[in-house]
Amino acid sequence: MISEKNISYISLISIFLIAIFSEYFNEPYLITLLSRIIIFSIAAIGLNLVLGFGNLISFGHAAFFGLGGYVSGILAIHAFNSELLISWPFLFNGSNNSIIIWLFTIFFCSLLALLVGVFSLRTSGVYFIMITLAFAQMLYYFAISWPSYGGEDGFSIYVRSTLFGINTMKGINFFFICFFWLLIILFITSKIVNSPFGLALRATRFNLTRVRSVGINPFRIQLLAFVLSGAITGIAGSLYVDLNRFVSPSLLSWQMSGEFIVFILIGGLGRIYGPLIGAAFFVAFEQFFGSYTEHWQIFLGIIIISTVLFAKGGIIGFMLKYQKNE
Amino acid sequence: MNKILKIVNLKKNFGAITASNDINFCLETGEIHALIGPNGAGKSTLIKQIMGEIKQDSGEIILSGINISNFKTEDRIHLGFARSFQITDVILDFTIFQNVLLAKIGKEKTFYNFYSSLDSIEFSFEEIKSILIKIDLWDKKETAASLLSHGERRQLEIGIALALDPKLILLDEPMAGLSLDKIEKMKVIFNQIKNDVPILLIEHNMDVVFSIADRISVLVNGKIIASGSSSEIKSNLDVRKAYLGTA
Repeated sequence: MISEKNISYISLISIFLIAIFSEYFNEPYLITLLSRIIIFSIAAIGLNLVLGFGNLISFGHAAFFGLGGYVSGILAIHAFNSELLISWPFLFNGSNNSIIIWLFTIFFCSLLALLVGVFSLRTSGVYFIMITLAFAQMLYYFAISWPSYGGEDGFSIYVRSTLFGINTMKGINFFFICFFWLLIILFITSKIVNSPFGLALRATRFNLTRVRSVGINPFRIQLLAFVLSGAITGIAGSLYVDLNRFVSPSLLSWQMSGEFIVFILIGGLGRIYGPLIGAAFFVAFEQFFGSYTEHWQIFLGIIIISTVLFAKGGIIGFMLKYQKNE
Repeated sequence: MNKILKIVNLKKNFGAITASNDINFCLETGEIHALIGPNGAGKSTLIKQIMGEIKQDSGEIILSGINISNFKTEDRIHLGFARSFQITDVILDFTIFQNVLLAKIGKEKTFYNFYSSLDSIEFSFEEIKSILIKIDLWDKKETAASLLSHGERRQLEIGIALALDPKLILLDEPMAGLSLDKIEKMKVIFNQIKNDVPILLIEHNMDVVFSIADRISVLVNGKIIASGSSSEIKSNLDVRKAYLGTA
């Protein structure tokens, strides 16, 4: 029996099992790939909260992904070099403690999302798309022109941050951390979507007048969703930088925002597990076709067009529909 | 009986035309009070003043003891005015249950709660069930609003209004465009909900008015010329002359 729930559980379990087997057969590259899939899906789950459930097409979520990356990278590199990061009101050398890095990431990404949200949520439709893109591009060019942190070249952070003495440099250990985060984020989003707040958010997607007439302020609902969304995508950025031990402005590029949207579209718009399926498909696709030609994105384009034309619910929607027809 | 809405000496002139001429009127608990009158009698002007969309020249509007004469429309809605045609439409992609639940969430101000599951919110289920039974849509609670007929959608609108727990409901021609059997159904629904919320009814269909209104006020040339039960109004000579056309 194929149901959304079953597809979700099967995909989670298979990712976990593949990672265990890869460790057993000593395939570190595969483990890195799986970690990437998970990190990308966390980023897209964050975006899906506003895009899939609130119909807010943010084309600037790379801003949160990149900011999360830069915050983590800057904290880590200062700790690594024992360089002073802040001298007032207290001395702060950065940190390579994951918990501290994540807290900073959540704080700054929420703050940025609040700022971007306050301005962009006054608009809708195409204007919303453009203004979110504009914010992300501003950060992108700022990062490029900021010599202290590598400018266009970015910078390396050499070692991963530490968590409770776990050896995070070991691929499978880092995978477990990412996987744990994925479970938390999935739990939180499904909780949010099925809450009174989630119902109000889903309602803003269809009819703002109706929402207002029952005494709910749609702007505040959307803003709160946008902040939650930015924080989740920020966490993904933090993990991504830790995975690659490298920070670069490309984290902030509009292509990154575009890829998040593609994960959601391929997996299934407005489905909690859609981004996970989409990101897994995307990374596998890139690996497979990328090994034959560097123009693999041509084939991806065909997939996206056919998804939009023939399978609007993405992979999950397609499987559910196929099952119904049988 | 308790007076929910009281209008005292309300006057409104537009230049030389008197739209409201010293209107005194009240809506009591448990009643359907119909307001009738020929075209141009000043019904819309009166309703607009009650809702705060235009301001009276003099006189007072009192909602359960509070003088709301100078309140803005939004504040009046917050205090408990529900108006059927104000509710533009329902959320078509939501089920009937979800539409009413959303209104309940708005009323209870629980829309910032993002940790409780919708199924576990105790207050809502029983209350929404009783509302859906009143508007006769309980059997269809899981149906998407987009699949409803015109009449059922109107029933749902009334359900949403009820979920907001209003002090009174203002129905502006609720029977317009409904088939005969739907009208019968709506009459039953109105008779049920009036015990919870009094209804101020503006309706052109005289059969409807005479069969369900507990009291009827007749407005002619900005003045209420008669007020009373169906039989009193039917036999009132002034009304017959001014409104029904026969003496």
